[in-house]
Amino acid sequence: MPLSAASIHARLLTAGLPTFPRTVARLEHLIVEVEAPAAIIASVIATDPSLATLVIGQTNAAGHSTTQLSEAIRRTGMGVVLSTARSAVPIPEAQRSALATCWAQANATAVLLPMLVDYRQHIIHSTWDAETLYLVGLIHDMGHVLAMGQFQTEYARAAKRLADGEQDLESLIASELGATPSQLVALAAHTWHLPPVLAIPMAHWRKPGGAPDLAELTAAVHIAHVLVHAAGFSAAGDRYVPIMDDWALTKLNLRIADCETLLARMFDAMDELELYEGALR
Amino acid sequence: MQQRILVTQAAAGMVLARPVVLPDRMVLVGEGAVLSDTMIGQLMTRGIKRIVVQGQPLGGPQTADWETRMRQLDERFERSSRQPFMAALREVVARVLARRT
Repeated sequence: MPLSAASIHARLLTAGLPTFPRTVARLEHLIVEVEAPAAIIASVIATDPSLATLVIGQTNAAGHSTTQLSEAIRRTGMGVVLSTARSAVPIPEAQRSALATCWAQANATAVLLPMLVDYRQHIIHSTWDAETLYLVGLIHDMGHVLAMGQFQTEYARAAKRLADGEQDLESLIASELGATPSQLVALAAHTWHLPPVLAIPMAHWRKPGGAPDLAELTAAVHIAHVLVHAAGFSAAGDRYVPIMDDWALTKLNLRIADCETLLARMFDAMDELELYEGALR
Repeated sequence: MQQRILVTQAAAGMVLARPVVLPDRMVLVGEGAVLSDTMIGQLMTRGIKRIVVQGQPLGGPQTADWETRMRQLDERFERSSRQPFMAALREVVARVLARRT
């Protein structure tokens, strides 16, 4: 039986966002023991959608207005960053593997989205800096994380129905829970104090034509998500690649050959990132 | 089988499948090293975000053999490949993955 709107809202307000306890422990080590510079702290938080959401939200709640993690950390200070990270909920052991797949998908989308926007810069009328676009990609599917992390029973039932042949996960979550991931995140984005450039794509990327603003950016997030999922970054129970939205493709004038170019560049970029970070032979 | 993972996803006991080499070519941690919490902390302190470990401790597309990857690709597109664009996208992904093997 689906939950009432009041129950859903109450749980969103009271339950924290899930993260890996070892990420929080490492941030603690880097901040308290090593006194690592802000850039290193930002690079760790920039791999974790929950912590990135919380840190940006905490900064904006204090009256700042930023969409960049590095600026958020500079403005809010290491002490607040650490206490914010400690407020995240350690993910239970049984869910760690599922959350890891969500994080991998989020990171791949974060790599692809700035490339996609740059690739279509002659069509997209607005401009955003690469760090903001990375963050938009990283946290775009927090609705899925909320459904999985805070409504575990309902999510597990929806995932089982999907595996048993029913379609699609978004509708099944709505049927079990009483709200879609998009609706969950629309409710939560307000309490997270996220600016529109982060909140709108997050709430509308699944049906980008319904976005009240930032249509091109929301279309780009939709396309990046589908491409990343198609490339093999499935997240938790979301096992099937969603159908690419025709409106989004038309909006960015993207054809199948462009998708091949973008996917190849995404994998190359991930390799280059690895090389840059010194992890190759 | 090996997998590239984020250092934040690493855990003590994982085994490096590739050495971690600094920009000056100095090997920081060699291939086959068993990760410890201290070692993972040092990698993070050095600003390294990704490492390659043995096995497939996490989900991801880069690790399985070719037949498995193609089977997984078919499974991902099972519900959408009757749609022409999605069928074409499946072929695109197969080509991109083939070029990378």
